[in-house]
Amino acid sequence: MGSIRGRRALLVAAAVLVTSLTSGYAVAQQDYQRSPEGHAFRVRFDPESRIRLGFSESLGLGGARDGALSQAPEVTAGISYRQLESKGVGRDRITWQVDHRWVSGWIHPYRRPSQPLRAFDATLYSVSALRHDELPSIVLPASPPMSVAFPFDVGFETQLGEVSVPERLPVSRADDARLPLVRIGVAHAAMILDPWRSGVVGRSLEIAVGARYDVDYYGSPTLHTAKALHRVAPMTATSLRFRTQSDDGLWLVDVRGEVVPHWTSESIWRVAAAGSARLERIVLAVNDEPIAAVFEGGYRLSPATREVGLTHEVRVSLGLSFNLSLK
Amino acid sequence: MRRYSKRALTPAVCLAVGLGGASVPLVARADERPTLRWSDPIHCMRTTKGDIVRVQCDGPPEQRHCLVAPSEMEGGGELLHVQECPTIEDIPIYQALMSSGAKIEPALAETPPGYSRSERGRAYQVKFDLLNRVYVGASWIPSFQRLSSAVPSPTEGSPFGLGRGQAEMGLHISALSTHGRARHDLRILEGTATFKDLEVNGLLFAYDYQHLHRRPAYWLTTFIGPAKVHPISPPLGWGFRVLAINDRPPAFRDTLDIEYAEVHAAWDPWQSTDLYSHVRVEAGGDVGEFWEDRSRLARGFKTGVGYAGFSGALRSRFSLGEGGLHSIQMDVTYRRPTLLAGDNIGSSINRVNATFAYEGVLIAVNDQPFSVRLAATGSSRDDPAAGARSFELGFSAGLRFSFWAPPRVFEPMQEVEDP
Repeated sequence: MGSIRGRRALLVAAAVLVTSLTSGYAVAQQDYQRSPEGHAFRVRFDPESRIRLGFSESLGLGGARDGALSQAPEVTAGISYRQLESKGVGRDRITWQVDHRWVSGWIHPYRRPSQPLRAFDATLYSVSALRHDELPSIVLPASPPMSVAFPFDVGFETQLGEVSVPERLPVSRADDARLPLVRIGVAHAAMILDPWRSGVVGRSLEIAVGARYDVDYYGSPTLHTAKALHRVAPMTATSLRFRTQSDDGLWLVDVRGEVVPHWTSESIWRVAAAGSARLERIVLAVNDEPIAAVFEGGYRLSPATREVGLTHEVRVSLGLSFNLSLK
Repeated sequence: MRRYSKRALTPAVCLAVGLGGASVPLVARADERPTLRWSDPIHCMRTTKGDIVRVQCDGPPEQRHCLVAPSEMEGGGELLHVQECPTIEDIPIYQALMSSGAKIEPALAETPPGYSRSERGRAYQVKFDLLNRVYVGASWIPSFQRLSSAVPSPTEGSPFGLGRGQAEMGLHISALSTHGRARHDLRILEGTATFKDLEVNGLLFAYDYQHLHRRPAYWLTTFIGPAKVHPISPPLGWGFRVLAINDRPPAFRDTLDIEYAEVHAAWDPWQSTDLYSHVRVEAGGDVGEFWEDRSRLARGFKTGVGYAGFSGALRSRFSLGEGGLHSIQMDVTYRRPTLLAGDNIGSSINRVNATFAYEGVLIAVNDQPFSVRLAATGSSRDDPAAGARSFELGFSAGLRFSFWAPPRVFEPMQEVEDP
């Protein structure tokens, strides 16, 4: 009897294994099409697993000294990798989507608002992890414990070592002079709730609450004699992010906004805000390596301090991104 | 003895004048006797006199036609540039041939492609691959220049004008890969130096690659509408050069420019089947350093102004005919370096050079070609410090003596290159 049960278990396990293997094979097959000449070419991409190098033209509001629109060539680069971990089947399926990014950002190679530094924004490392459960629930520690439906996917995000030199420099309160500025986002961490719960790779609506620590170095009047301003948001950094992508990965939309009430080293609360948007469409591939048209926009509100006034920065760019697929 | 010396000189100085590649030697009238074919088998036989002859027969047995050529030079001496005799048949074989009724015709020994043979048996080169050579030369280069701005010309009263001369040298190596359907060009230690004013141009090393691949190098997929893939075999090449020097140019007598490195991608919209002639468009970048006052170099390399920027060129070379005796070269290069230091940091300057040159082989001495080179050159460059732009126009008429230029040979390319 026991041996019959064991054989059944073995058969079920084998069936599950074969099913999962063949479904993986089918997915792999769908990634490619075959031309009439017999050449197989890729038609599906993972837009978050690649090495990127992009060239674009950017417009910045207030980049020029007179506050007018400024135009500058922009180079973008970065490495990203998406990890997908799944276990269980059917209603027990739990999926982790973990997006890593290394050395990601942009630079304006011909603009030096904060001499001798060029305008740029780059992040050493960031990660965003999202857990999708087909039947999400939380357990209340009652007696007996109660399981309550929980209508969110959950996750976390972390960012380490963001450095930026803004295109638009803040104005000194003392003499209306533009002061060079270097911002360092030392660390940022937040918990994520996703009420959309799409269960589809790359599609989420993320509400995040977290903490962050930033340091701004203002030139006084140059960066050699800079003054530091520390900003700490103790679980008051809130953000909303919407992202989606087409099934074949040709389209990508990523929009994010955040409001960050924070405590500064001037012993006063301030509120900073920022927003960004990215629209990407793969238009070509050379030897299966995709080339995408990319539109990016960004906004940042930097609150006034004792030294400088409030600053708005707006940046939009349009260009091409050349990619090496990592998957 | 006196007669022998006079005749011995004849093959040593072989005039190889020809237009359109027709390699017609004037002194050695090799067309008076037929020549054994290089590509067909050769039989070597010993005659009844004990000499060795080279025999090549064709036709049916009853109408056999045999060419017989001596296997040594007239008056003695080893016959060069011939196929090796696999065996030497004995005298009876030769006697049997003579008595067989075959038509026997005296002939000259075979010559490899690119060579011809004189009546005395001396093989001499009639085709030259000038992409492979070491050359030295001298030329007369009348030069004219002027500055665009009102800045006083630093070259007023300079010796430039009609009385300017130049010496030149260089090493060119070009390797044709028939399996790879590609050509690799190298230029090594190329340089010119003018007399009197001592303007020096030098190049340590340059490499260029071109190909005629037939296997698709790229597959371009378009995602506008239904996804489609298109095979592409663009004639794209690349190249680089290392350490190019321009010292004391005519308009700026105190400057020194050292281009440390340049790298470029290239597109060859037209190439001959052997990749010898081509039209080439190059685009890339270079880094270097220049000194407005070259005497500061004595205080160290850090006294110069570094630069980096765009470099591009339109180049072409054409071989007229198959003999490689006449060639035309046209080059236009444009550089736009951005200064990385100094008072004018961030500013970009323009530098343009153009050359149109003809080179034709006049004579060959012991198979080493002696050529005439006629050229017109023009250049323009900015001086950021003075805010001036110079224009230079020059002409060149000179002679080049080339060494070890092999015969230009047309090997068929492989149908499709090796993967």
